[in-house]
Amino acid sequence: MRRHLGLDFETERPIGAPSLGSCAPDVIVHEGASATEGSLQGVEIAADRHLGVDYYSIFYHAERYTLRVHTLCDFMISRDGSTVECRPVAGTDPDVVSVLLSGTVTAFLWMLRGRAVLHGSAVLQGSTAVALLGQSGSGKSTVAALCCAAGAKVLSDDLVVLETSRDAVWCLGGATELRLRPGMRSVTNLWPVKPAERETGDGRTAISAPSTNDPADGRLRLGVAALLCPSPEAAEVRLNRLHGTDAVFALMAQSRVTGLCDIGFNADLLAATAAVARHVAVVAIEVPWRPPFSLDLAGQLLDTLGGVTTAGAGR
Amino acid sequence: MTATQRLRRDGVLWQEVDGQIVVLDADKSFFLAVNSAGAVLWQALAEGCSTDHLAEILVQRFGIDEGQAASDVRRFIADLDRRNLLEGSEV
Repeated sequence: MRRHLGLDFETERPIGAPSLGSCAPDVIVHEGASATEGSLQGVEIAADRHLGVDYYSIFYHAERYTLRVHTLCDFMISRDGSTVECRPVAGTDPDVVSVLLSGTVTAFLWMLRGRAVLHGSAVLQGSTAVALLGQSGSGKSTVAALCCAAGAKVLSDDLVVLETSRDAVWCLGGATELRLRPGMRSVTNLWPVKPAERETGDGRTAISAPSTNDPADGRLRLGVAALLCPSPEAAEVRLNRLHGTDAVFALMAQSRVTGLCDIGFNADLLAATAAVARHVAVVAIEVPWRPPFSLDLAGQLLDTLGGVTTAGAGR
Repeated sequence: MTATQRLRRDGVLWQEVDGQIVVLDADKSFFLAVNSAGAVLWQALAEGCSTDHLAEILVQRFGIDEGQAASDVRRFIADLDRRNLLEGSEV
């Protein structure tokens, strides 16, 4: 059994960390036959397309979902998200399948449980969670690593799973690694102790990051949702506070599963992002982007984000 | 007596944030932002409200004259109707 972002997976695939508990798994992962990339049937739930290229699609048919990552793997997911059957296209690197399982598939498994999932990393600054949000390549993991260099702890990487209550928003923790792109691993030179590293199936370097094992349920109150704007021209870290509908639209654009065309999932996303806009400080943060980065920048980042958390979300 | 107007209930989702409204029309896959003045009307339209009463709400809330309020309500209702966000009934 392995635990990844609050879910216990029964799987041989190396996702998350070995789970110590002996309770029943939340998700059982089966290995199926190779996918053949036939046409998908049923109702389209989501489609991730850029410039005419299909990256992944999700369809619902005959009491289950098919999450197809085109040319790589089909994941057959039960309606309640309790089972996943992996059907890799012949020749797909097993490590790639593991990366997909721990990323897009896990995001969808949480969506099936009524949670909204944003694209980002989260760190713990003091006792408050800070979500670092942005599209692919916006520097989420790198900024998280910079924050860790200045004393923060990592909560999650790639996925920010939101839980809302009447007057607060929480995000799930439990991650122990950050995945850095080639060229960005030097950021760990700023860490007091050189971390353990491993290569991942998508050509990145996973580094063991300082994490938190507390609280027991692995969720922490979200204080800041920061939309990352890396800028080679910026001279210093700058914040722009977003309010109301601007904040909601900016957050909805960060959905981890993009191209949603299902009313139920969109309703969950709208409700969760509106809750974030109500109870959490939403900021766009401009980050000077001229690697190699300095410890000064790391401190500046955490001080700036810490200033927002100290000020609170009150408006 | 003027017509009672009501927001469409099927396929239209909305959330109030900081006195503004975010609307999702799931049928047509579009999002809409409603400003704070429109949000006052929106909340009333969610329950169902006559256009006369909507104008009264604007007068009371923003201190504008009745003619201006009636004109603003007509434009707002027409905009929502054009976007197929209303279901209407005569009283």
